Amino acid sequence: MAEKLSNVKRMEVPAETIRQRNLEEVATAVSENKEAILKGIDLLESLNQSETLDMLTALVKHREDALANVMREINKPEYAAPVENVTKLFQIAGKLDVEELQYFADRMNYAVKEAAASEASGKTSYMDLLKALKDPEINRSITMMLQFLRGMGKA
Amino acid sequence: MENQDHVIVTIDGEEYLAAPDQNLLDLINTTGKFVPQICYNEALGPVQTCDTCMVEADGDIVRACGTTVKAGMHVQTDPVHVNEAQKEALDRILEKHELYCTVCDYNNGSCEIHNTVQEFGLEHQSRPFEPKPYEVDNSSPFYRYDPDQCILCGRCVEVCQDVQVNETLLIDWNREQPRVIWDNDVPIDESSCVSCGQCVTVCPCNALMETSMVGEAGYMTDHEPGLLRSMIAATKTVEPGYGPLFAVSDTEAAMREERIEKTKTVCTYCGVGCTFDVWTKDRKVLKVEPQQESPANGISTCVKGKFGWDYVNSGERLTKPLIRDGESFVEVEWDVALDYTAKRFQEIKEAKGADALGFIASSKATNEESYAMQKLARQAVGTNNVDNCSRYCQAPATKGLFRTVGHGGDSGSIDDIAKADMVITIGSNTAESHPVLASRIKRSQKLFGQKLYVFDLRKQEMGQRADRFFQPKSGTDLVWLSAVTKYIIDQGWEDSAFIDKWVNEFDAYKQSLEPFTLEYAEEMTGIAKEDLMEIAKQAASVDKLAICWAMGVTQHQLGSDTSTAISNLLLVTGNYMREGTGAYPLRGHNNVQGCSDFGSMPNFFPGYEGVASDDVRQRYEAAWGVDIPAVPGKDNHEMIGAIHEGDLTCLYVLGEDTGIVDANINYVTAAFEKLEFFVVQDLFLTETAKYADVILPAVPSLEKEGTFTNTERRIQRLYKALDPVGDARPDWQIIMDLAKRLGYEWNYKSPSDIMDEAASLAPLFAGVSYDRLTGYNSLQWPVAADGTDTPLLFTDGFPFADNKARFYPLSFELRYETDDEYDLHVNNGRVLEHFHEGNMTYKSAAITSKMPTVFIEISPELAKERGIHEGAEVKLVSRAGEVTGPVHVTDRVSGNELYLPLNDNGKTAINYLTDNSVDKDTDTPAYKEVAVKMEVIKKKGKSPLPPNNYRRGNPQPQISVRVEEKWERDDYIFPGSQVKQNG
Repeated sequence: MAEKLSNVKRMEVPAETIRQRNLEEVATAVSENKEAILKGIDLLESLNQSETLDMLTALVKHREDALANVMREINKPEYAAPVENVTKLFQIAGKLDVEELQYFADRMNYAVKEAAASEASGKTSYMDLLKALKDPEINRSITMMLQFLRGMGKA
Repeated sequence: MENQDHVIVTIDGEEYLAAPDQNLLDLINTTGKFVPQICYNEALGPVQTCDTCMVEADGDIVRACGTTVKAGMHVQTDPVHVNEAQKEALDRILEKHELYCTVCDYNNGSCEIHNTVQEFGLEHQSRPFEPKPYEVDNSSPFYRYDPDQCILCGRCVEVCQDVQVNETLLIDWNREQPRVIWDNDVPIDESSCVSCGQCVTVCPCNALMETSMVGEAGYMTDHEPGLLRSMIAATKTVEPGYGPLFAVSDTEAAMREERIEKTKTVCTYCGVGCTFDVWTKDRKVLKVEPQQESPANGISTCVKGKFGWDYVNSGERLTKPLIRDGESFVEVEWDVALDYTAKRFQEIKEAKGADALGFIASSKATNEESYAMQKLARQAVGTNNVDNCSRYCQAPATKGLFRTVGHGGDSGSIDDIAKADMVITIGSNTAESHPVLASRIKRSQKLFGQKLYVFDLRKQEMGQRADRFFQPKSGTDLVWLSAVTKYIIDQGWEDSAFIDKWVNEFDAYKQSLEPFTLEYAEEMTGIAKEDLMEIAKQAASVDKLAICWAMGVTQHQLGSDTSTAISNLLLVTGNYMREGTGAYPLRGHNNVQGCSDFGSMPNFFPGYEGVASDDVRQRYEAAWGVDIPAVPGKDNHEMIGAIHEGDLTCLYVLGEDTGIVDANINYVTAAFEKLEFFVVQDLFLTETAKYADVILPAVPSLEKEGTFTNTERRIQRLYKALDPVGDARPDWQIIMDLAKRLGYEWNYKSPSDIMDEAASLAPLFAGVSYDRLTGYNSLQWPVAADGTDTPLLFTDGFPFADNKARFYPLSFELRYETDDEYDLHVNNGRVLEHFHEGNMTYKSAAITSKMPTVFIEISPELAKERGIHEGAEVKLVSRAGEVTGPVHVTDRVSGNELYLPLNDNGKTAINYLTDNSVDKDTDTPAYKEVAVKMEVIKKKGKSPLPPNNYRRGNPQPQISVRVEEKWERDDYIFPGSQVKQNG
């Protein structure tokens, strides 16, 4: 004769047993991942030395506040332009033809060096300019700049 | 050149073969060319709302999805003006939908707006996003609608109107700002929405989303609304073009894969066998996502399958084995519980013989667990006393089919039911009991002219939708079926070519029909003679007839005979062996088919091979190394009787709340009290478990592997989505551990090994293996050794010696009626929201909020006669017992007919009223034959059906989303025309 029962006596697992089981589980994981754990400790130590750890802890604990502040700032009209610029700059960087630029840059560098080395002083007259056009090096530069301006106008 | 099967279509200069009448977009999608498309979904067909799939066909810009191919058609997908039209359409969508993907919970790689815009290469939108003047609708506990993100593609409307056919959603195209509305524009929670979740499944973006996903899926989505809003703004500043936005959001989506698991599983709530991916994050179920490739259901689900998984994480789950000790159960370690159980089994077997033990397997557990249970009984204990709960529901249907056609399962697939010209349902509340299957019938009837004839006591949804609805008197279906069959033969409408070639015993059967005249049928059933003639004419005239039936047929004293009469009618009209025809007993539980298939039956080994057959038995004896008794064992019903007699003293029940779901539970629980030793294995401390000596904690489907077999005989795999809770274990492991302690080392490493053993022994499953069932692959038995399965039975004949089916003569005698004292009949069955005794679904707060309690449905005329109103409280008294419960007055029932849903395990449990009468051939309890008298306790009160129940809604039937109304708007210009204007 078995009567209907609804009581359940839960098994009381002593706190010490639970602690022991958890420790064993952790110990196994540590032992299986020894190298990663040691590197992790090294990383933590570096973060701690530089006080970055404290900062990160505080930031994570206050992440909602921090995020709200950042978002409030980012969304202010005065920041819209800079934020957009940063992204746009990246886009510009992506569009530049670096090989062609290299060509320009090399020449620019050479020109800067020449200019710095030059000891010329005094004024340049119109006539001097016209005369200078006859100098093949100056003429090549001027032609290139004219081409540049034409190209820019086309784009 | 055109030939008969194909037409040639030129796309971008290349020639392609298309099926005549093929959808152009469908064809383009097979070529690998990219044409943007957002509203198009294979499961729904063309909706034509998004306008993005613009192409040029024979010189005109058209919607590819709205165009049917023609022979010699020239199509261009990529000229500049076509691209401009596509871009215009995408721009219009992005005016309606804000792309903030990185902080969107729908950013999981499957957002169709995200993916289309990305693949199209749209870098900037031409016009800004315009917010709409509507609030988010958060009223439903299951899903929410955000009009601001909605692009009005209308997929949700299409699926609600024409796939689920619940007809709740529509788009009001006539407002200044159109939006999706529920019913006549009420909050979701107050509408006729049945929360099947299919609108959410097909939504291409985050406009409709499961509440369980909101704030959970993303790494950066779980914030206060204000903060989330400013993050959306920031996202758009930081990610100005779509390129960078997608780069960041795609990365975030990839990161989500790290913590969201997507596991294929099979639903546990009915025999349809819906499959889907369940998304889990740790133990949290984020959502259920059915797949196009889900064999039984495609993209469909019902509320329980889509949203009813809370029980898995219920705090009431058993986590340790329990042993009875004086006044309480005490938690013990597995070894203690298993050693004790095995010792008691041995002692009882030694003292009283193996047949003093009984085993009840579960139709909710896997095939492998059914196999293990019957092996435990037969090999480790040595008894055939093993059965399962199909005894409570489906055994009569199986019997009827064995008598006539030789296989005890659905003749074909759900697709065949959808293809039939005429569907008859008998004693089946299909829309609530098998919602996804019902939707297929509802769709065929609504859109494709299928005729639907419904026979039921109650005018439930299918009855309301039917072309013809009949209410035969309880338990008389055999009579009208036989009368209709007789009339067909009398008129010479039978399919004599079919009968001559394929069916035996026609003359004897014809003879047996003599008493079933139309006059007699009218008198017995209450269906008018003219109606019976019309039914016969309709059934005989259609090419393809399918008959579906359920518990309204089987749970009667003549359940097997009535099932047989259905099969006889199908044979007379030649409705077997072909697509779109056949017999469909709709299996109730997820594995009611499989549990019997895999041998947990007192008279059958796996694959329905008799234990009495020497050849078969010797095969199992050789494999298992023991002698097995040749005499069939006791079924459930006989086991309970044997306990009262003192012949059976030990019972092991797995996953079944027998003390609630068996008939006449006062008698059943009295038997439990007499047991010498009682083991119950379950997820919860059920009413049955409360009588046990040992309770073993098992795990639900999401925590184990295995297979289920649905109503289509379709075997499908489930994968483990979660780890077991506490120390709970899968049933197969527990059974294996017990077998070991009884001296039998099985050594199964996984359920796959069990299936291999079953396949090697049972010819019906010869070719079944886990490799052939990977992912969404499935097999419909019989499965030949080479893996060939059988979606449609009997195409080569019937499994009898001469390959022919047999007519089975029947007679009728009315065995049950109400009388002057017990003057009301209590019909009983399912409701959409809850499952069985409610142990699982009542754990869902959301589902419970929609239907908090059971109720007793009473007709308006009876309510008036007894002077009671909605919310009254009544006591129903039968000869076996009594229940009390609240009253719901509804015209779904009529006259002296009551309806009591079976989902209660307390004082309103139907089985306090049911008695020991059973189907004469299978011992299935005659649950449906309950006569009661009613005592009024309270005349009126609070309605048991809350105001937010779907039954109180106002559906708005229409076909499709009515895109024409969008096109007729003054502000609508076809993108193709606009491009021309601009150009």
